[in-house]
Amino acid sequence: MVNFTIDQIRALMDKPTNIRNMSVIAHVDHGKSTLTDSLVSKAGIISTGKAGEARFTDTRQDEQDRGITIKSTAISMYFELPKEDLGDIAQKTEGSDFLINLIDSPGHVDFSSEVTAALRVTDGALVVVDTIEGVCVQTETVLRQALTERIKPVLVINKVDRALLELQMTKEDLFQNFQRVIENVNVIISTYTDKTLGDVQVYPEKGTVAFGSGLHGWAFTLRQFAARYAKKFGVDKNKMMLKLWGENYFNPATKKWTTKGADAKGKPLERAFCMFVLDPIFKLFDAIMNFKKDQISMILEKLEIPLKSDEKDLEGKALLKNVMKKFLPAGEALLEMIVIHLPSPATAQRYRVDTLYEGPLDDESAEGIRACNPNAPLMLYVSKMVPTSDKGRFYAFGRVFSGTVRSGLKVRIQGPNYQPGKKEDLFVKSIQRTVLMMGRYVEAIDDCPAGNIVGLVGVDQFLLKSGTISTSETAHNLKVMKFSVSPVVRVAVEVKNANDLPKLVEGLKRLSKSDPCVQCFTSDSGEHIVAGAGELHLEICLKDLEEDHAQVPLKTGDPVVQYRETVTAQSSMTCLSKSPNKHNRIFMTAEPISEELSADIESGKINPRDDFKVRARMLAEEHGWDVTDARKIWCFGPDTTGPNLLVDMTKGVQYLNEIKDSCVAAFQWATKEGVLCEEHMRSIRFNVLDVTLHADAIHRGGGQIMPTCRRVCYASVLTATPTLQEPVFLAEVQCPESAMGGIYGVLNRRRGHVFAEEQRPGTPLYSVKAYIPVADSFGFTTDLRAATGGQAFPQMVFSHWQVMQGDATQAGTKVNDVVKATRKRKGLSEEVPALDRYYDKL
Amino acid sequence: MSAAIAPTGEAALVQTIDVPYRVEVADPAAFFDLANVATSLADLVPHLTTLATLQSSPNDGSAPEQFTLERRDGDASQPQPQLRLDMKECRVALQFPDELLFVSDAVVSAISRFMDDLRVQRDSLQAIQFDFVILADTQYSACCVDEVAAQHIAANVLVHFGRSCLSQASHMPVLFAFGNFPIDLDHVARTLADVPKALVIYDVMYAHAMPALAAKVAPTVRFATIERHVSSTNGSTNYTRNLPTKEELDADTTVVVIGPPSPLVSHYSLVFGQHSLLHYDPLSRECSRPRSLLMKRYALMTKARDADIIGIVVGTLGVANYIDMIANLKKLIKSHGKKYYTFVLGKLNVAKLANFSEIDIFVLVACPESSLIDSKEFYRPVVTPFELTMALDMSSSWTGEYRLGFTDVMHHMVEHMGDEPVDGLDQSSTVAASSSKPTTAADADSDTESDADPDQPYFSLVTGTFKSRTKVENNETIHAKIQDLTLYESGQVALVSPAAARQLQTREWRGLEMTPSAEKSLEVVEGRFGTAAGYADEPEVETGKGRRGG
Ligand SMILES: Nc1nc2c(ncn2[C@@H]2O[C@H](COP(=O)(O)OP(=O)(O)OP(=O)(O)O)[C@@H](O)[C@H]2O)c(=O)[nH]1
Ligand SMILES: [Mg+2]
Repeated sequence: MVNFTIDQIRALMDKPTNIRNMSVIAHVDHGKSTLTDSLVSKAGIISTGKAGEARFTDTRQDEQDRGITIKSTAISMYFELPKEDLGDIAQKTEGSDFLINLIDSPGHVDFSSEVTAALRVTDGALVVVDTIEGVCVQTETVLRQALTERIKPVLVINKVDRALLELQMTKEDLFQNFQRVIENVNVIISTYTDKTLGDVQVYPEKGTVAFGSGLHGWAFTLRQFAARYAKKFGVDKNKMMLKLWGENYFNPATKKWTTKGADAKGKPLERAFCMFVLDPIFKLFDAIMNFKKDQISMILEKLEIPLKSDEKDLEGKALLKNVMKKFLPAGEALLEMIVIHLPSPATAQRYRVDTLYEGPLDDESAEGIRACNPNAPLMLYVSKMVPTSDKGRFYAFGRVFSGTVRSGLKVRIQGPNYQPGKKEDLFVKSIQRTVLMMGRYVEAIDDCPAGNIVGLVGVDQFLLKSGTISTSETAHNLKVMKFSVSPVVRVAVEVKNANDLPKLVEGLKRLSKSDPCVQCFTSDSGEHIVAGAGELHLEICLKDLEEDHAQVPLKTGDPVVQYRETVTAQSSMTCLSKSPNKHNRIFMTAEPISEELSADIESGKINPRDDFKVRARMLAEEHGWDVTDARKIWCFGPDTTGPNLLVDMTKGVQYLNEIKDSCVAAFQWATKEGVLCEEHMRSIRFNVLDVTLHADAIHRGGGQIMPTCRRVCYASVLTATPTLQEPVFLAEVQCPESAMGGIYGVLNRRRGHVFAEEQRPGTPLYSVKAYIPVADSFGFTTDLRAATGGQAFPQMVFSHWQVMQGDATQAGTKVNDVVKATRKRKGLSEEVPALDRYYDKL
Repeated sequence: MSAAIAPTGEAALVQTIDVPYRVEVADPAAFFDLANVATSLADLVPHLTTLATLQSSPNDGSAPEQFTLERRDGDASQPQPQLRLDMKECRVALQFPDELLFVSDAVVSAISRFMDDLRVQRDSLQAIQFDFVILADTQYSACCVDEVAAQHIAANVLVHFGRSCLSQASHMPVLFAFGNFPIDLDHVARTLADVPKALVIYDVMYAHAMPALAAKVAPTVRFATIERHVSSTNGSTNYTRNLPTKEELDADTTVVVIGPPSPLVSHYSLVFGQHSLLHYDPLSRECSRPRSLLMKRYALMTKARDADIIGIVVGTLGVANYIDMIANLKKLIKSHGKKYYTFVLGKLNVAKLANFSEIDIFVLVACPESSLIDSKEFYRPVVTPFELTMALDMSSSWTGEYRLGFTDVMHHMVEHMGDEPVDGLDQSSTVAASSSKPTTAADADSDTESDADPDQPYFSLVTGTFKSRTKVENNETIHAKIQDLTLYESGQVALVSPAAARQLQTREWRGLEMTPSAEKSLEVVEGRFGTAAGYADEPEVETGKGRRGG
């Protein structure tokens, strides 16, 4: 622990070349928080008098109780790199003092939005992978997110102690295991990498991979060993590193290096990594765990590990921990790796500006970000809100990308919908206070220059979750974060006592603030809905809502799933609806849109703002559309961006342009409240085939057209074999072979289907991947634990929409049951309205 | 005479506010107690005065605002005690709902007979010629007294037949004949046996049977009796329902509504939202537990909160205080920095409101029973004045109470309008004087939000995001500011109305195109003949009968 005054910390913040902002990301339980603790206990900056206890970053009571991280937490560290190592840093530095701002993030999928928020404010990522479990779903998800944000990764392979103690792996096995993990990580990196970042794959021989045990507080990169052996072999440290990995062998007999695994006589040689790196560690483990007293002291002497007198009495694991911590202190190895290989804000912002900033890349704001210039106009991104001790108030947590933010500074607070030149979602206000966020503590500071992470007071009233803060009138927004999870699981909450309703409303607002991903709103039937990424996420949100945000007793309904209404065929006939005055008619059909196109629309690859010609070409080339049709897309819906299209296929209709607005409005409305059960529509293309309009404008006004167009949309859907799409989770379960039977049993009962099953080489673990409908996923985790004696733990993330079999209007089908149940829940008549309500005869 | 009228069709598209109900009337005189009606009518005659004649000609329906929305001067609302002793002719308007129109003829002959009898008995009536006019196809809702129609025919008195919402009329002397609708009392009593602790609220058409019912049920069953008052000044009758206050009603009391499925049921499901509710329909003899609309209405309130442009829809021209209500709504909306437009549309339907797609939400000023519009089919929701009041006041903490009557709501508005005086509550001259003035510019400035930061956005429960409190300027303020039309660079002339300008921007079609489009004009061809409902070149539709043209 480093005791610093605020002034000392503040001084470090002025050198953007010597700052490292980094996140710790990994699959759940791979040891992020433990590893962070071991770093913090060495280098954490705790302002005088605020010494902490264990678990610096899991600050919430439920995090400690559950042993799982829920919110990401930032903590600052100080590190001084030995002068002789400064030369290894390939970017500009000033002096040897470094300020490391580390954010420990949660690993559970349900909280991945916290990871997104953390990544946004950092430039580098420490990717943690469990030696035994290897690369898992979340490893991939968070790594992909990091790379799309242009975050540079370094790797630490954690829990190596388990490989030695529990699995009793041989040195070569362990090497193979390491190599496999590294390979898997690199495959992901090369899949998602961004050219501008250059080669960001991780290489042990370059020092971007560390191995260790967070729990025992030790870790190393090849640098440490190379430094030891460089003198002995008289080679340069960096050359030595290359030798210590991969197909490099040392023949002790000839004292020669070779790249062949056998000597001249064919006798197998030991790999250099095993011989020079793993061997001492294995020997230590063996001696200590097998209580070989005399060997222990010999090795300790050889490795120059001094023991204090009271430590000499330690035995077994306790001694091992103590010795390893001295032999290969985790803090040193990891912080060194971070400082040398992760980019400083000054370095990172130069290439991040393109993806961060929405405006022109040559305006003053963009220039300020690119140069990480503390004197340029302020550009700050608020990525999340952190509750203060003052109930209902929040610190806006964010990163200064340009300029300097100070208390009292008048700034422009730009919400996610702000557009330059418009007043919407813009507030000009003063920053009340700026604070440093350090784990569970905050310290007031006067100002905070570009490149740093900061907390702001007085902004929470104007931003719900995130936003841009600037002093430049021309500043555009910093890009809104894109989450990898979506809130697909919802529950309705109500107060037990009607008088508490206002408190619930206020509570929902606070809950909404406190979590980047949760959504709170009222449904059309007047229910208060909380929507989250998964069951665990919801559980935590509801607990927070009841205990912290609303503080009134609440009733919670069963989780409900959102469906999408779609069609599976072309309308069986051309549908016609007449306007209320019978003077206008619209002819229309509906047909399905391919899943790929829907996905492209949802991901924004094809969007309503594209130039229509470009879009048409894309639709024609990639999705087999007719170019003429593709050019005549009137709009996307619902909400003008959704995956349904209204296509004008009429020929020579008079006054058509007059009614377009009404048709568009009706289409938005119809796609938002589908005919089956008022769920959103998805993947439907509506073709306006013909329109007959009354010659007098007064008889073809919006009032006549809008209800008619909505009705004909509904009629078209009803005649096109309508059905529902249900959301499906991708579930990944890791477990030993003995638990497999249990997993299959539970999955079968829940309409799950396994599509991949593989054993993790070198481990007894199996990894099962399955699709499971969200509707059947409630209680899956609990069931699975029960069925496998607590050995299997699933990670579920929304994967795709799946078309349900059957015609939703035919009684007896499963989809029809779902439709009826949904209608009932919404207080609608149970039967789907009949076609003749919408279809008019000629 | 006997007839039956089925519910009208097209209910799917056009929201009917009136409740169609089926009833057989064998003897209209007995059914409506016409002897009684005739006596009341005779009693009323001495009170009759010249009614305020309409300022505009009766046929001129083009500018209803002129005579309906303007506050009538004090003299009209307080009938002059000047008797027309020389009255030779008394014109009686008989207002029927569509469902009862078939008996109107029989009613007229029956009531004329009774009047003839009375004329023999009473000297005062000797000289008077009674003239009966049948009113139907009510302008707004059949449950309300259609004063405007009555005034068009210069009626001296109106008799309202059938179901009534009991709203007080503003001007005319009115009599009611609810009708003795059949009800199986034994069946009701058996049903009520399950709910010993109940409050029975009945529709007026069943009032006749209630004393008999009371004798058949447990003494713990209370009745919300309907009380008749006869005005001493003009002899007009009005009725009030004696409802217990919330405090008087135990929490475990079941509220039983007896009547056809009608807004009355929805109404009480809101007012007594915290109680369990039972609906008994004497026609179908069915008993149901309707879902409370409370939460649905709550959802509408959250939507109303987010509305920037509000349409005030005038849904009555008869219910007492409606002018005050409209004036108050305008003040309320303006004081929250939002914009309003007023609409007089006659009977509400989907197509009419959809013509104003720029309006975010409509507030309907109508009698309590026709205010609750299930908005699903409407493009934009329709809320009640109470809902709007609650919605606009950010600080308000709605906890489930609900009001519908105008006076009730206006009392409520007092708490939510800050400094603004509320019209029509206090009869003291000062209030009346100030409210009769058209809203002045001074009102517009009296925006006093005592909030910490007036710009602070609020959390919208509709979208789940922050919404800023946009201030939209109302026409008065805009007009005060505009000296000239503003000339934009492009040469277009525009009025500086931010709300309107913003709306226009979002439209693709902005009227005739000034620049000739590149598209070649189409060649002239001969079109079709006939109307869109059936062109000449189309095959005749086989449905045949009952099909009306155009
Ligand atoms: N044997 C061993 N166990 C470890 C090591 N690191 C962490 N653990 C254990 O793994 C479990 C999870 O550790 P955490 O640090 O909470 O993992 P995490 O990645 O922060 O988990 P989440 O934040 O919930 O995603 C704990 O029981 C730790 O004691 C290690 O190096 N060796
Ligand atoms: Mg953790």
